[in-house]
Amino acid sequence: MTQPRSGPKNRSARSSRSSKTSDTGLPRGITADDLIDYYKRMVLVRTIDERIWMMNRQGKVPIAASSQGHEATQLGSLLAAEKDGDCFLFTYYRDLAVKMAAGLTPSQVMKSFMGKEGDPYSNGRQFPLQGADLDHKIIQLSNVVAAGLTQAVGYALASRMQGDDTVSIVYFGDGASSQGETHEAMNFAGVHKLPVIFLCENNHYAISVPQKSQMAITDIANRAEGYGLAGVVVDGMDIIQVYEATREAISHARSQGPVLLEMKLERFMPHTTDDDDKRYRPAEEVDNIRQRDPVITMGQYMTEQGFLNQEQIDEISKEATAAINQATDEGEEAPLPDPSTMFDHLFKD
Amino acid sequence: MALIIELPHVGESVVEGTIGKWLKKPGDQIERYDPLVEIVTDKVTMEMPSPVSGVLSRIIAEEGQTIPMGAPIAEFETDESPSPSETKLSPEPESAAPSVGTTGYLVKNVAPVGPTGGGPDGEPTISDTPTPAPATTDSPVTRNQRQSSNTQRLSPAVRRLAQENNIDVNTIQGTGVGGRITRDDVMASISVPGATSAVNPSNLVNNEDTILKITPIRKMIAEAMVRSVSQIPHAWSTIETDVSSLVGVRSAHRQNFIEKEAVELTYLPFIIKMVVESLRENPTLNATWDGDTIILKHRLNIGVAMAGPEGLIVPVIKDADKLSIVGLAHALSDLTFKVKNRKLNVEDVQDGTFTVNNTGVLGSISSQPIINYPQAAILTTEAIQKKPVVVGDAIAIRSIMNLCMSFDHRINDGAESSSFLQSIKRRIESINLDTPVY
Repeated sequence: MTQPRSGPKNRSARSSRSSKTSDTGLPRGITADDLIDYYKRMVLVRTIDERIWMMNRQGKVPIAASSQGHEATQLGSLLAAEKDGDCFLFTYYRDLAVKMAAGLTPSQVMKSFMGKEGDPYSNGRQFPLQGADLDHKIIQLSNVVAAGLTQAVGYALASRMQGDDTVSIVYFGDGASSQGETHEAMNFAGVHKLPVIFLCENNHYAISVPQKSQMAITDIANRAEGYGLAGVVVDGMDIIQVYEATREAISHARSQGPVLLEMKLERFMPHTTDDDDKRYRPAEEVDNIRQRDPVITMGQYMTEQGFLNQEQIDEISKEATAAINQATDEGEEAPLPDPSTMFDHLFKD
Repeated sequence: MALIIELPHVGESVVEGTIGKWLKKPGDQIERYDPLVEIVTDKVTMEMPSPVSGVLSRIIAEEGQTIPMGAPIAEFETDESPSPSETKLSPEPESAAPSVGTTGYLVKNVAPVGPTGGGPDGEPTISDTPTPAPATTDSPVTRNQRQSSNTQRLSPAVRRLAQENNIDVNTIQGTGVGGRITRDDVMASISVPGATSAVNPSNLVNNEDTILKITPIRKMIAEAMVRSVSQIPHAWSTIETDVSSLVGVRSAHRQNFIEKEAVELTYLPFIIKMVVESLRENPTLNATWDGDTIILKHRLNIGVAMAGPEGLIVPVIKDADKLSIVGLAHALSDLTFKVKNRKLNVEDVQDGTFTVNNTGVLGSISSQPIINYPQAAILTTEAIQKKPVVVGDAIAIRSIMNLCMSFDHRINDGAESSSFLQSIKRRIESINLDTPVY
């Protein structure tokens, strides 16, 4: 596999773990408590993601795109952004884990997916998760594939012009990498050396189209060189590597210019609840990729490192289920938006 | 407390679902979120998790039944009170739909309009006005509402289809959500000329006639047949085979077979064996037409047409090429049992690549079968008859059977189909006691 030739250090983050770790065996800048906190967030997100899927199958959630399999990438990059403290995030529709770990409560998530009153974004009017969360520096997502890239580049340009230190991070999938806007965004960012990170969650499927039918290359990160970006391939199923790579990319973006981070990860579920992936990928493939489930591998890492014992792992899982049960009940009990409020917020009062 | 479970509204623009397989049986104690039933929709095959904990007391919708969303599928005995969305999931869409269509009008005339105002003064709201507000007959509002319920929401594609075919949508009864007119509804009124006036079959009914309700299975069969004959150009071919040796071989094994295997040895396993071997030699008969390509199927999954309690059903023997004649006999016996006892699940009827229909069992000597869409061909085995035939220069009494085949002429021409039929004939006529059955 060819590795991209430009970039922070021009190699997969895997090789960097030993050189980057501090004396405690942890990557620089984080503590065991951070990891425990993030492990809890990961379990909570997975639990609610599975529940949302079930609620769809009961007819109570109209549509959902699952983040199962993407959690290590979404949470590892969020951890890096939080630790840095000055990043602005442009998510896309599969980023439930980013949005929830960043601050949405389970109850808010449930109401958002069920279209109920109490949905923090639109009070039950909008597609789930669509809305800005400025307290957590997350901008409104657009469902239009690849729309976020040009927006993030624009934001990075604004940061440059205003002279602040903010780094924009835009999340997108491998499918978005095939869109024209991606070219425009990356080219512009490269020309102006803007502080932006293009974080590609490459799960190898654009809905049902496998990567090999989308592009002739194995690594999307290889495109970085053509735009004058730094390109890095990262094991997106490993939260530690994702954290390290994102942290490094943030410094690079701030000091030298844009970075294309290609997170290799897996999509465990069909594209959305309206999709049947049995029609285009073999069941064995899903069984295989589940062997690398980030929730399980992070749990193993936590016990191996002695940060958590099995009892605590079980307890975390139990607490998550209880929290999600309660959130589900709250979602079910919440009323649908009052029809009389249908025209609220449409026009300036 | 008894609680009725309904087929959930899942998926955009999905209006009905087919019960695939019940994953629980009556009497089972079920926890909330346990997988309850498999549901097959246009979009996905999915497991529905139980919405409550309790005991499944009754199954209302049987496996294979296609029902509209919101229809009852089962009854639970539960201590839990149903969650609000359980009982409130079906707000009258009929009443909601027209008000959406009149939004533009209503915004401009906020004052007199109930449906959007809601209002503390008891103005009707969308959710509780199934009928237009009883206002004076000629007020602009009621006129507009009446109009809107006629010119209800149509998708651009449906509107265009109706216009192009000069169909007045007001004469069509919509079958979509909330009575919406769908593409299928328009197509139906196009394909039944004069459905709205002249030759409506229901006009021909008189008193001594009996009206039979169409069962869901009958409807599925009808739709499958129409799809096949309207999309596949069928061509037919018949071939005569001398099955005297086959008859001899089968009688030789018969007694021993039933003692050892506890299933009856019929001719069908032999025929299927020869069909799959011949399909291997003629792969274009195990194929599907796909517009600009032909898909050759590598698996040989043989559908066998059977008469089920509710009508024709075609269970499938998966990977029939991997089974011996004994294996095929058992597979057939299992499927027959499942058909008779309504135990087929969805997998049992999926993924067929070629179909065999033993019409001979009904006494037929020649058939013109309809291809099981989207396969390439269907073969019937006709009744075995003793006939005087010319063998060499003498007349002999031989057992003769016709094989009739319909094939998709887009995929195969006469040459390929005849080669396939000859291949089966050769195998049938060369069978002998050394032919392995195990």
